[in-house]
Amino acid sequence: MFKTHSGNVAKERLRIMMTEEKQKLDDETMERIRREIGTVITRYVVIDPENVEVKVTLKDYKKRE
Amino acid sequence: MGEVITFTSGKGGVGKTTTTANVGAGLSLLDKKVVLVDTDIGLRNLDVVMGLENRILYNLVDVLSGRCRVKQAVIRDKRFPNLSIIPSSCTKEKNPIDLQKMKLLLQDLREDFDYILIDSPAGIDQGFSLATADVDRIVVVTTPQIAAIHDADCVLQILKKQKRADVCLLINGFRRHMVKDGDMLDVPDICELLDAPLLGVVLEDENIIIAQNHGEPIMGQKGSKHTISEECYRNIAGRIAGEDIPIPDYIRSTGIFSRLFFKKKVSGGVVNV
Repeated sequence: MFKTHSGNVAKERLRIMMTEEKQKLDDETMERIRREIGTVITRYVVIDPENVEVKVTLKDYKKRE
Repeated sequence: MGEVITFTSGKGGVGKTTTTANVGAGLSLLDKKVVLVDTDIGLRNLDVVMGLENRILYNLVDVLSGRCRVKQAVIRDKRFPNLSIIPSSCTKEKNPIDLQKMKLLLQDLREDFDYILIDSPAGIDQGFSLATADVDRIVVVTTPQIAAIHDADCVLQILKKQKRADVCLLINGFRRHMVKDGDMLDVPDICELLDAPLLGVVLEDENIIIAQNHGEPIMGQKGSKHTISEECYRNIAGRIAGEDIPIPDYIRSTGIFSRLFFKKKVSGGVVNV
């Protein structure tokens, strides 16, 4: 199974890795997003904006996998 | 004024030193004055590949720390017209290299040589910064293997963030039969993934190992038979020198890759070659 057209497998793996790495947000931006989302939620729900965890995933990648 | 070109890669073992040595030899055969500078501090091997290890008196670190003059560290390779090297040291340096001093050295070398080729260490830390600061062109060397391509991408992204112009790609160790069997990425695949202009392709060639065992570049040795990789290096040297040499398509033997790949810098602007 490793013999046949492994080039295509490599290409697809690289494509996924590279797109993911390029889309990766730096820590500073993630922190800004977390704070802003936290602030938005406190307008509707009584919570501590510091006590919010934010995770960003893109739908497209899941589909491809 | 000479042009400074750095060969770098991210991953080790993809052929930076071999490429530097043979492209340098190729440029010298085109009557250019060439000096190769090994910047892999502590792990010198350019001199070994070139078979000049017995002629070292001073090295790059000696020059940068003022222990000798530039000319004292330059070793002339008598087999080629106008080819010299500045070797690196093989001991671990206590003091980090001063970037500013490296820039001054390159300024000096630009006065005396047409091409200054820098053999960069693998990786993306200090040595990489030293090898890529204040250079005119950066060649990212990769093989068609997945880890090498991945690391080449990391390097290209860093260079992109630094807004470096004149970055191009060299594919080394290309094995035609594996590509034909579908078990190795083809040149267009790699170019598409890495999105950088292509300087050239070097075919896998066992003669390189044999030549290096003897301490010789594969290029233009008198009396030796010509090998498959020699032509690849000759083409690459020609392209760097501004000759219009298309990149052959080694898989579809009829064709050549379009010429939009590599841009040769021309005074006042950039034109397609």
